[in-house]
Amino acid sequence: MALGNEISSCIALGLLQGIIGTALFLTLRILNFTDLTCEGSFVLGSCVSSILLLRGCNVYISIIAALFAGGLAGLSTGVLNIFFKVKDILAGILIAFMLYSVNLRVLDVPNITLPENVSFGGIYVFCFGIICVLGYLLTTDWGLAFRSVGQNPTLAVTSGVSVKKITLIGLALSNALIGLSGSLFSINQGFCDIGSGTGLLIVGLASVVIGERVLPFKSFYLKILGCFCGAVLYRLFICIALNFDLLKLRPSDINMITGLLILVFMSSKIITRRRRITCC
Amino acid sequence: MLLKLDNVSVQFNERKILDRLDLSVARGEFVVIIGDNGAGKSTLFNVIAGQENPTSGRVVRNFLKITRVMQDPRVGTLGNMTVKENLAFAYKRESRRGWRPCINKDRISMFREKLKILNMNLEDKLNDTVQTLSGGQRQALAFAMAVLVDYDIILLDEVTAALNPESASNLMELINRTVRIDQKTCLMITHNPAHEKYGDRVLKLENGRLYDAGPIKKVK
Repeated sequence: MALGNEISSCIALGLLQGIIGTALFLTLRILNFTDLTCEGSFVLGSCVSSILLLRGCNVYISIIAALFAGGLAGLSTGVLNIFFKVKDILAGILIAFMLYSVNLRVLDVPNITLPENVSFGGIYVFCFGIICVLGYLLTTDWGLAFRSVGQNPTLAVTSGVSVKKITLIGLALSNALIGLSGSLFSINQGFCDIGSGTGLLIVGLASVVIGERVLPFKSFYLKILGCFCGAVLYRLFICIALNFDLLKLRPSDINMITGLLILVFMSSKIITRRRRITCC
Repeated sequence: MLLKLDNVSVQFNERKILDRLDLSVARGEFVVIIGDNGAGKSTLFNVIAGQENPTSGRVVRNFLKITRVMQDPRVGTLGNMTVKENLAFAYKRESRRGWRPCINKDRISMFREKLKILNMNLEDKLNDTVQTLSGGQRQALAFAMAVLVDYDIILLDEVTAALNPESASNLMELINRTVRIDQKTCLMITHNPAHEKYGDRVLKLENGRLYDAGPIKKVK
């Protein structure tokens, strides 16, 4: 029974992290933009949603507010990068850094506990919706233009695609998803903490890397599904590692396990490629 | 006259790239431009395409649609996408990109027809990723993408520079055929003397000005 609970909790948490993985997939893999805003926009979504819930707001409205707050954070990174010519990495770090103060302003205290009657059972529906909508969007004519920006910005410009507009939309969309994940996370866990975003970038990256190995397909529906599968698998790996007595691991070892997991999955890709070349 | 450059100069800092240059191109004409490295050939194309403003002089463009193929096929194509996705991307160059699926049956059959004309076996590789194609095939695809939608004038910027002699020759035959059939205006920069024969006239860019490079042997 305890194992069952553990697995279902892993899946729920994995799906929430899968949303972050999907968001990072959009910026890192498709837009080719190293966006480090996520640790700030996740907490922003969580704070905005939690404070609204604490004031008796409807759960759906709080989620939508978190979505917009995250989107605004992403847009700010985009504005810094496009209009103020700040490098993508630095723009993300700056916004995430500033968001710490914003989040404290929103929350007023470092952490809060949500009322017990607050619950939301639509995580699966949200995840399914994200896979369907994004999977479809990326295969449309607009989606092609979106993908072209990350692959060949020179050709995109000469083909009439507004690289600036697409980058702004992409960053807003990605961080809106992260804000949504933050909101769902706080509702799911029943609390909101100002430090809950620490290390999320690596977790999101792990989801993308594991997902790409588990579902190595061309279809965007499957690629996005892969981010969710990767996140769930990542949670399961961590759960197994920490509960496997023989390994004598402690919760503080989680960073080491995460790093090793990413390394294993990334190097397995290179090894497979090398083997294929040798065989040819 | 489709295109007229009148006394056009382009200057970067103290250096004059184009110096009071004159050029007139008639509709349906194929003009070959030769010149040493750094002579300002690409700058000239940038001015014609409107990507760069001349320091002085006048550019008269009596056309609406211009298309360009670059020297490096990697610049003209999207390497991680399939051949059909590249063509779908080029197909929407002049129009609004909507929310409909980029690939459908009608488009695929149209792309197949267009690729058959190239005679590069690309019609059987619609689902292949572009980075798996050979250099010649990739440049042919870049050309196909450039001429997929209607255009008035095409600029070819050393399109065969990255190809082996055989692929270069095949591509030039293809370009010549397509441009002549469509009766379109073409300006081509080349370093290869063997490709001068495709032009109606050959101009040499030297010291920032264009000079007539003399009579050429016409291709059949």
